[in-house]
Amino acid sequence: MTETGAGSKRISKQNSKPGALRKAKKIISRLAFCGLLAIIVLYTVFPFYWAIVSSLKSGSALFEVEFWVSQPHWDNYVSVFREQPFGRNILNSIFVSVSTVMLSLVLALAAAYAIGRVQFRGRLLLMFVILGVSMFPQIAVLSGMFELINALGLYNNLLALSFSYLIFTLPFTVWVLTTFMRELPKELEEAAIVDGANPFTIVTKVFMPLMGPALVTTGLLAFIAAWNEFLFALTFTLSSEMRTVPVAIALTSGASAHELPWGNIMAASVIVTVPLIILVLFFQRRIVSGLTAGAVKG
Amino acid sequence: MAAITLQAVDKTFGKTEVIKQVAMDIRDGEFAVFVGPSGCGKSTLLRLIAGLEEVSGGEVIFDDETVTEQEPSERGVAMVFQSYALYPHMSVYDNMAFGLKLKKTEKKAIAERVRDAARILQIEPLLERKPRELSGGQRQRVAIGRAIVRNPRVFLFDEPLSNLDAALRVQMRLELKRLHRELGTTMIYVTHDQVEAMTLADRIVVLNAGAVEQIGAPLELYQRPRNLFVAGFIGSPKMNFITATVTASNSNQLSLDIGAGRQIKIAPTNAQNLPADLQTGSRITLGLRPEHLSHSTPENSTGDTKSEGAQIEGAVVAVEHLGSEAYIHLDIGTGSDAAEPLVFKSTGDTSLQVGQRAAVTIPPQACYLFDEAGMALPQAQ
Repeated sequence: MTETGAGSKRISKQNSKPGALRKAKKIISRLAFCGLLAIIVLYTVFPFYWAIVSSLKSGSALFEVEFWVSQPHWDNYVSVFREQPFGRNILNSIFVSVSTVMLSLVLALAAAYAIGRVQFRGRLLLMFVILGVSMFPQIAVLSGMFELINALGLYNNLLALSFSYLIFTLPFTVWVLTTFMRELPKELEEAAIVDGANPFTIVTKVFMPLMGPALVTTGLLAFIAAWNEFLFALTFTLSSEMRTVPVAIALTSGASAHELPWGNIMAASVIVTVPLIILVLFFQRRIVSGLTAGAVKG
Repeated sequence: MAAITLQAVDKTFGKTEVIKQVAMDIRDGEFAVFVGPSGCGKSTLLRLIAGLEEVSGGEVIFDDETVTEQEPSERGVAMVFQSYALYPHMSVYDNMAFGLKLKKTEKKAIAERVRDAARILQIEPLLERKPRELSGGQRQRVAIGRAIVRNPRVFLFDEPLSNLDAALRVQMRLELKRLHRELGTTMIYVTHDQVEAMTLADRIVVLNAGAVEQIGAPLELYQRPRNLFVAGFIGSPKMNFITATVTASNSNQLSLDIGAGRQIKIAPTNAQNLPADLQTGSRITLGLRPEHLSHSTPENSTGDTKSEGAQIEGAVVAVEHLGSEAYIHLDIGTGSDAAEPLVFKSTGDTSLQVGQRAAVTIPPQACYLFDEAGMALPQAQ
């Protein structure tokens, strides 16, 4: 050890010029990396920042390019709730998103057990069919979906949204959970079988607690997808009391037909983005793997 | 507690026949060990007894009850897995209580049984911990504890010690033996390690390619292996095999040609009544255990057989020093290149070096003889 240490010191002394060059190179690449990071952060955060800034302006100030608000006005936030049933819209969105997440997690968990753990013919085919469902553009299934919703008597009903959102949440929840379920050691399931557990007990008491991180991650993604969905929400609801927030914001109208109330729209956008940010920050700590440590030899 | 009977059990995966017509009786309270090389079907056989796999044919009988169609929990088996398979999100207590909770056992009774098992296994201080906070040996104990609390008719162990280090393995081996004495429950234990099999078993079942080669007490298998496979598998280092041609025989002496025109004469006392059909010219295999052979210097070998037995001479090709003993590999030049060297046990301070010539004496009582089909020739009791 000591010999090689002395050797390397000698070498670095002899070649001090290349050493300095290497140092400069290192600094430059570090600067370039930081610059790239700054661009990415600016690119992703700026729209949201602009929304916040705009939402705090009032009247004609909205149309002046200003990157900092010296005198914040909160009027927009008040008028969003006063001029339309925005509170109700938020509740609608929460109901639809939460129910979509619950439904898709329960269904996907059951499907993942069947596909990931039970041997039967055509499992792979089934997996690809499920994936195939998510490839259809929403607009392609829209009219058929509309007929279905009508036939079920769910038009202008929030349940119509919960059910139709499963079209795009289920494929990826099933895929992610199946992959995760396959990774769990087979012996764990066999130990439970020997202990006298039936498949339902195995899924709920043994697998589900171990899949916490996967459930949180997929649930969060499903929540965001449902929260932001626009097309189905626009088509399947009629009255403003049944709208979810993306539709409510898009259909916000001003005093006259030619005026778009940008202040209100920006305020509403900020309001509906905040819950998502809080959710992600809160669950970020839960999205930890390593829960399975200690299950088998480690 | 139960006696276990397997009747002509078959298991096929697709077209592969993994278990072929296995029949055996395991007595009530017995410690039976399934041993065999990897892929011989020993784990599959255990899983068939557990009920984790369905038999393709035959019956599994516990006592007088046919359990072939029953679920593992109905059979009343408990299993300890190689990877322990503890539930990672549950505490040690919950791991052990899980089976009882599913059976809707009373809470007080569960607590009592878990404490009892924990006391037997000396894991009482660990009950509130999670599996990830335990060492390998502790996890193994918990896995065994989970089996004990269910008070099963049969304990099934699937290579439970192979994940532990050597020292811990020896300790757990003794503990399992003690546990078996205390509980008196039938235990079936699968391993590929013949040392584990020899030390633990009341009876060993040697399996090869899905079929039973021999069932017997450890010493019985060592002393009277039924065929070449068992002879080679039991004992460490493994038995030496020398193929030979009989050149002359009478009721208690054999002259063998061991290749390259070399003759040896043996008078195997443990094969007193040599079969009459062992005629001149028939091919046999001579089995010699390394620990029975002894080193003798080539100088005093004059080729006579006297009463000490025959001698074989060769060049030393390897010396393995183990401290208390050494194993010498001897190239005895049987002609064919593929022939394995003859291994014999020597004292730890042996001065033999690679390249030297050495001779070994074959004691007459240490000869195992196998016919051309690999079956042992009848031996004296």
